[in-house]
Amino acid sequence: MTSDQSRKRYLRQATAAAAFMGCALAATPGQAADRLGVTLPTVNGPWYTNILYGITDEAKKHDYNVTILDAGGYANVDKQVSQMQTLIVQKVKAILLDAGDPAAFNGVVRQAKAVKIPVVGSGSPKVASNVEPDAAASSSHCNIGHEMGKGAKGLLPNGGTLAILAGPPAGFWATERLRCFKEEIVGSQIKIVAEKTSDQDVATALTLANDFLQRFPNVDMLYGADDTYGVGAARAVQGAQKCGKTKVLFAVLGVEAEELMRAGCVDYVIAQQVVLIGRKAVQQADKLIKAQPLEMKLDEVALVEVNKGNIDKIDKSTIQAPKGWSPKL
Amino acid sequence: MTMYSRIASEASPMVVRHAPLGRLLELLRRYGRQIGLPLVLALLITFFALTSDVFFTVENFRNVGVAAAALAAVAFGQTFTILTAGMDLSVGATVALVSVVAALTMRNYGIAAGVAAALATGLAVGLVNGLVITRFKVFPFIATLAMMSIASGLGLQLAGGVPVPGLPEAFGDLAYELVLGIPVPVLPALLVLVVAWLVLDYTRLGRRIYAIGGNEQAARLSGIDIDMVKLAAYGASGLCAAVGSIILTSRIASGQPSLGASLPLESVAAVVLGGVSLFGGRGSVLGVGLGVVFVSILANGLNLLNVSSYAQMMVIGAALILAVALDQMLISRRSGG
Repeated sequence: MTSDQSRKRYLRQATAAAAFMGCALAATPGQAADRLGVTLPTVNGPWYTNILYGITDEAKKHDYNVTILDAGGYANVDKQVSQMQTLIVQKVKAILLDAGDPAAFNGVVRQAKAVKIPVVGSGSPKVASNVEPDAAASSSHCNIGHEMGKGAKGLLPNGGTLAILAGPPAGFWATERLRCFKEEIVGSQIKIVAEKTSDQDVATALTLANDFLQRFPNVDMLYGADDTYGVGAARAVQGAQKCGKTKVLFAVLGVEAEELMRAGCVDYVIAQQVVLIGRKAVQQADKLIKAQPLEMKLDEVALVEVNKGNIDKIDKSTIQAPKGWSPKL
Repeated sequence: MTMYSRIASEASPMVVRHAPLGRLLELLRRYGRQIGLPLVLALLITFFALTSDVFFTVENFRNVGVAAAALAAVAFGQTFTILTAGMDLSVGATVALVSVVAALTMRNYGIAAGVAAALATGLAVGLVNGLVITRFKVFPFIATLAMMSIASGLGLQLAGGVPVPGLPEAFGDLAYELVLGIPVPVLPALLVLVVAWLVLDYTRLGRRIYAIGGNEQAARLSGIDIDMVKLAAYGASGLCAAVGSIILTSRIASGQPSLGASLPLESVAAVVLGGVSLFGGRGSVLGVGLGVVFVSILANGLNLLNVSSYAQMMVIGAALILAVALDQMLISRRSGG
């Protein structure tokens, strides 16, 4: 290649990169008068899609704009802390927080409270390990674990072997769920033969579940921390043609989970009313902004048990966003 | 007459007609490396200041400083390795491992012991990288990629796959305190910058690092102990990553075994944007400081504009390509190609 051609190639590369940067920077500028800030560890997965639907739809009814910042993964705890500080600087009216690791948020939640920005737990009762939220709407992760434990005992009344897809390594919600699940199955004949954390990604969960099925071909049940892991597990069971033989249970009912349950590859789901959680978080924030009293500071939203027998009878409007809806990020 | 000089001579009448523009272009051509990034940074700050009414505030700049501090420490360490024409891809995993070690030590033996253990761990990882590269002649990209996997696994193993809580509250509070109006996390980063600058610009080790990056064969023939210098460079990278980890661990008040995942890309981006050549031997750690400021302000501004983290990843990647492409253009122009 001649030097002239090299120079032209580099110029093309530089121009393309600059144009790309310009396009990516063309985002919504400025801020509205009343704005809610939402900070999440990730938006990957049906749970986050559903809660964002609840939040944005409810916020529209109350005339709020919403700034959504996600850290891009549970591992990016420091980034989520920075993003929350950004929301504080932006002087949003309230912050809806789903803390990836509550232990990391004590300082920044105190910062928000110091400037009178209410912090509402959205999907988790804890926003920081040593600082109370101003309000929270969630289901108790421990209750989810207990209900999943009851479901496991129901599916395996005579006991059996269980492999666990434990969730993301840094996920407080997953750890809490699993802790209480294990408490619930104490004394039963259910034996845990494998347990592993992994990234919150269906493909990774599928690979992990396949590994479990290879190592333990006769495993009776796979546990998924949420539906990302559960769907991965169900697909692995489907691929191994063991639907119905190897039971699959998890929390959170997404669209794919529903389809797999109808296909007979998912046996039991504890569904959180995720859309309702999002709505309640916004309602609480609205009351705090207007200095109105809260009915309940920590609003625990009821869980819904879903199985093949009732999948078509339950009201999903509080559980899932309308089909095809996706958050505008 | 070369193609380039023919083009230059043919362009002369146009340059004469458009003298101010021609002078500006000549200025950019001659001093592009020195003034390019400050100019772009000024434009970026102006853009964000116009599009967000909270960008140009003391509070926001403090946030930028705190967010940039860990990246700065890691990037200054990365500078040492890139100047030797190498690269340290294990910085992110080192940060995670150090975070876990610091947290486990701190909650049992106190802050001082935790910090000492953290620095020792970072240094050890860096020295192992250096040994693998110099003794076993493994290519730096491969050696540090492998170390990334080892350090990451070790961190997760030590932590049991979950964050390590229970650090002394005073350590976590440090990240939110100010000294003379400057956030505390910025201070160790500034210290690392000063030390790195002094070492690279005013010590024999620094000159040798540049010499090896410029022409390793010539450096060897002139009697420089290549292995020792590279060992020192990778040790410095590990030590600086440890400082970055201490800053981050204080900010999140826990040991996180998955911390620092984006740091390899961001630190290399900051180093290259700051004018250090990926081929080694050229660039200044002060320029890297500007590179860090650029990356941090870009991320902060994009957050204020509500740009998603996925788009931010694309922008930083594009910025890296742009910086390397322009760097390549300058190199080929200098060499008369």
